[in-house]
Amino acid sequence: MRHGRRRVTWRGTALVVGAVTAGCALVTALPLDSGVDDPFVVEGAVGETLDLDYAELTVTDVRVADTVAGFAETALAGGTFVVVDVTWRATQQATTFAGAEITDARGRRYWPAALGDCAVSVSTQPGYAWHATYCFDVPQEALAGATVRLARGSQSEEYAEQRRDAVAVVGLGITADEAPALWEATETVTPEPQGFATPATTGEGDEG
Amino acid sequence: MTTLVTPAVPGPGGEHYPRQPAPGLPPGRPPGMLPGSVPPGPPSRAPRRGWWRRNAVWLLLLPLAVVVAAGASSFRVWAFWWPTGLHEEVDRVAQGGVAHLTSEYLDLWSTVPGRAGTTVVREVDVTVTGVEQVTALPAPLYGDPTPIPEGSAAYAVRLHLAAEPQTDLLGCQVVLVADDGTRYGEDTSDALTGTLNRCLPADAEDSLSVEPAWDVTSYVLVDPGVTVAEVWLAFGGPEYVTIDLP
Repeated sequence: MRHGRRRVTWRGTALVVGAVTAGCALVTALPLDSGVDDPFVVEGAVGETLDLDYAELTVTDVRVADTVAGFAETALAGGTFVVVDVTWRATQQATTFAGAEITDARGRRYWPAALGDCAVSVSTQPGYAWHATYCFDVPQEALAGATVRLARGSQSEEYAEQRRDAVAVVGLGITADEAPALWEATETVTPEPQGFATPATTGEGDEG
Repeated sequence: MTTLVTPAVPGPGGEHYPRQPAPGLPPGRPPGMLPGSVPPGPPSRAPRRGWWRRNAVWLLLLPLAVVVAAGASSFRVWAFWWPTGLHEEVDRVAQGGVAHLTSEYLDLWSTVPGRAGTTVVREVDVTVTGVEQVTALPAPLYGDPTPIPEGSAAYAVRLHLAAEPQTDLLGCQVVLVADDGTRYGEDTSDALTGTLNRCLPADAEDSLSVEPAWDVTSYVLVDPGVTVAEVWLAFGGPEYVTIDLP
């Protein structure tokens, strides 16, 4: 316990007040929260294998269809289905890839539809590549410039599950010129059920 | 520099010295002092205690405060992280040795009389009798053999298990760990052969052991070219045993 008298000077007072003011200004001005919480976004294109640290991801094909035919049910889109075929290969341990959404050019977000044999989340483990198909029911204006965002963290409202973690953002390659024709087409897609990726499901068998 | 002098903390000694204005100045506040300030008294002749001595109590309490703060901000780690992974190695042996896995669990729906709703200690002895790469998988109980996927290598893990009959082996995990730490085959079921429990024969009726000792073979896919360094046996964790491979 301190007793006696303490010397207080104008300069010391100014130093303390100045330091507190500078600290407050620094904390307010710097975007600390967003910098710390941002996911590590890995951008790519269809056909490109992306390294997400915890997995390797390849978007193998993108199709647009108004009907998805599954083993047990056939689903008709409210808008149109964007059908995204992917291959996941976990690289560290058994992993559930819970995040999948399409973001359109205006930033609106669309979550996958659990219809037909379409996947909503995918669980795999290291040692093999695993094929899955996601189906997103989107309006016409969402087609041009859309990207798909895939990760092991789910796409909660604020991407809370994806903070400080790797996230893949893949451009679907749909241009504004192509969008009307894709919207008008009346295609039916039968997604492959989830399973070990083969040359047929990864698209490699279609080449040449 | 203008100097202001104010009393710090009221205490004994603070009023021992008479308040005298400086010679030649009117009584009251000396120049440069804040209103209400008390002019300094003569310095004490007693040797002043150092900062470390004066704050000894708080310094002793500081480690305790750090522990309390860390605990308060992390107590839920036990509830959310610890039980849902393999975190506690309870035994470690070289291949050929007997690893003893002891783990405790709350049995909610046991069919064994008197066991439902009680905390059960599961004790299993495991010996790894062989780990070898195979070029084909055996046929499952129903259907054709699963072909080994392209870009994968398949390993057969042969285990000799021993446990008291009626030991519940639900959630058995046979994991191959590569030298870079990658864990292969953490999934409890064996999709390659259609086996639901990796610790029991494929035709087992439930998850309870029948014999006091038995052999099983489990199949795990790994990346081609990796070096498998360890086998882990677990039942969902957090406890597991490690068997080092040569």
